[in-house]
Amino acid sequence: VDPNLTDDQQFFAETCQRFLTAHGGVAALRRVADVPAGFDSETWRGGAELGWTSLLFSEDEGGGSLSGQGICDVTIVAELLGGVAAATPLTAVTTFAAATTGALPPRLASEILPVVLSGESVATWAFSEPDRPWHGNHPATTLSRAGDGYRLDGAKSPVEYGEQADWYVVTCDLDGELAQIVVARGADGVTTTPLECVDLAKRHAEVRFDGVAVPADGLLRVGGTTKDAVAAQLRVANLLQCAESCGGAQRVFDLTLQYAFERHSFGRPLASYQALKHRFADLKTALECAMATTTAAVEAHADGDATADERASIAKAFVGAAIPELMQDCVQLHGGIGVTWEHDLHLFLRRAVLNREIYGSPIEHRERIASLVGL
Amino acid sequence: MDTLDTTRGSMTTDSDHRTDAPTTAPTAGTDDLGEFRERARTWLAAEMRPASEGLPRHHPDRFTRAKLLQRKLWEAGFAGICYPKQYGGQGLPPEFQRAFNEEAAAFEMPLAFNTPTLTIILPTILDFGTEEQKREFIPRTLRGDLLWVQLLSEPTNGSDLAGALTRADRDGDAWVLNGSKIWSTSAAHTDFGLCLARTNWDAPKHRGLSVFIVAIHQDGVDVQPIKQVDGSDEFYQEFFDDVVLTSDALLGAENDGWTVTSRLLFHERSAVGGASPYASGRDHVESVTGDEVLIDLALRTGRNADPHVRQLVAEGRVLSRVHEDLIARLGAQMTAGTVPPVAGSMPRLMTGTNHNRLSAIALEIAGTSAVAGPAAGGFAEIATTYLARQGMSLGGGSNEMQRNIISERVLGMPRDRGADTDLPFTQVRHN
Repeated sequence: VDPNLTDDQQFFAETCQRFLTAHGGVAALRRVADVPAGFDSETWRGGAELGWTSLLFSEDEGGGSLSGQGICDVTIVAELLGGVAAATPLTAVTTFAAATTGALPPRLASEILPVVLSGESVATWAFSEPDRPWHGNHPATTLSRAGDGYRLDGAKSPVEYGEQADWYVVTCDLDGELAQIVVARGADGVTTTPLECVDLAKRHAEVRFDGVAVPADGLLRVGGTTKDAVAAQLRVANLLQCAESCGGAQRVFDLTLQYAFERHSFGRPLASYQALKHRFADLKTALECAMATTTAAVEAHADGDATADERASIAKAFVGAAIPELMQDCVQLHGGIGVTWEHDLHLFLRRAVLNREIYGSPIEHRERIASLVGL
Repeated sequence: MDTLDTTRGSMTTDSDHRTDAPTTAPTAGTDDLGEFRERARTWLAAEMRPASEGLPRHHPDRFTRAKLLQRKLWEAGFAGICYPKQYGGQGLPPEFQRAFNEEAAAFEMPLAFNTPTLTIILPTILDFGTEEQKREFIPRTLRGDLLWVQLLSEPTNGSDLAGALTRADRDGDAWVLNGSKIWSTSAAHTDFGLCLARTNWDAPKHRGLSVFIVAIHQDGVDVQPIKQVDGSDEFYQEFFDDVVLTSDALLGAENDGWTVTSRLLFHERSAVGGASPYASGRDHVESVTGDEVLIDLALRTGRNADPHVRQLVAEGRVLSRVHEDLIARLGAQMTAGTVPPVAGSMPRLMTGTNHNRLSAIALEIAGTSAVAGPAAGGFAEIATTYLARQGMSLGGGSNEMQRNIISERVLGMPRDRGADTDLPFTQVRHN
């Protein structure tokens, strides 16, 4: 997405690309579609060795980024994963990292971080709730004081890899204030129900907490700046979605352009028809726009810019709306083959549609933009 | 600062120089970027007005004002930052112009000089001009004496520039120009134009053209404003009636005018794409339906709580910001040489499509007031903007031409075959 990668980032991107190609490229997605976990654990551990799990954790925690700006590096990974429609818990682990970095007590840090960083275990963010505002500032999931610790009640849905994760960071309400707490999936009173997901492989679940006892040190933050922390986590989620959808859109566009040169009708390649050329010009422009606004939003987040929330919403509103439409037009330009199960186009389209809706749809992000500009 | 005083002092004498002598604006020497930026910051704060106090877009005096401001920049050593010193520029690399533009963003600047004068015309003269032409025109322009216009489109051919029917016929050492040009921006307020004319009618159409430097205010040149749908008269039509051009008016080689024009268009795309190193001050994407206007409109109509209106305003906001992001992305890539300047056709296309959408959104929000409202409300402008909106999808090459360029020259898709290639122009069907 970003045309201004450093040499280190360029090398990292090339290494990751080779790794993904070696692990089967797009074909890998069809294989993991039938794996209950919804991702290939060997691939994920390999990615973890390349650094995918560590980018938003600090060096003290065993993490570290290439550029000093973890968000810039992790969106490179998301874009590359999007280019092969890879199913991985990258967003789950990265949003968990954004929520917990620097905030985990020693007990939990030593239990969680080594296995999450190595890719042996998955952690995720339990955030969205059915029938609640997407931005999560008024969760119905409640934490209450119980003995020396807390008890957690409520339901989160959808939770990315909610069944596969061993740890959740849960955004909830404590005495009318926004709070975040770390909970183990194995705790008594946690139940997970798989959701039917538009993506062939990525898994989502409803996670219920019924009187779950949580030790006091699991509470990461309450009130005060918790709202800002949640907003920052949401930005991370939105930026990963945008980068992934851009990666997928680039691949779909390239496939379609190539097809236009190869496919002949009435003795001419499709690429020679002006009516189609103009469509390609519009698609190319939309693709460049999607990448440009994603880069701008990533930079605003990395710089701690005051406009970071608005920039993330602009990126999500644009990419979320434009990329599925771009892909649909690519299906149209492919003709009948484009709507077959065998063709890869729908794998990318499924991911883009998933990304369009969760963590705020374009309609919801536009509403936030309207508020942020003073309407 | 010392440098500032030195600069001003030396200027009083320099400004009296005759313009046919190689004029060099004073510079502070070889200061580094940081010092340069600091010097610009200090000078701007002391000498220039805030941008908000500048003349509005259609004010009749904005060209004389721009000439005065350009002169001030020149006297202080901030004009033509990337132009060679021997032609009156500062001879500095692009990062100095960028630094200056960042510092100047909040100040009134002679933006009327940017396009086409500084970003398109002068670079083309640098590319093709004789030494005499460069010395004659570049310093005078940089010091604010000359504004320029492109004389390309004709009443009979818009997108097909190489089909020009305006003719320049040899008369001894001189040329005689006849014909008409149209859609020339602010032509009556400019001093010189670059004019594309046919000089050989038996050659194929691209190989019988030449480009001339033409003084606008002279006998035989009639400049007429074109009143547009919204009542504005930003564009002009010129009629040339036996205008005599001396031999030194020819820019580039005789019958090689398409090469010159292609280069001109290259500079135009760089400018439109935000990658010109010669733009001084930040050009704003000018639109009377910009997203700030939509926000203001929603508040003024009291419809800011209407969820549908909120969606529309945000949609406009998104389109405007994404357009800026696109310009920034491609500008950086063009500057780095990783994408060709023809990629500037993408932001140009979006200028048109965004304006179409934003003007429709404005009309939607203003509603009845825009089409039949009290005169004092100021809503009628929303309707006239909507009525005239396609202008933004036509100027500088229509949206369709941009789509041709993007598909053929950015994506490498096959060109459509013209019915006019390799035929003598006299045998080509034309209007």
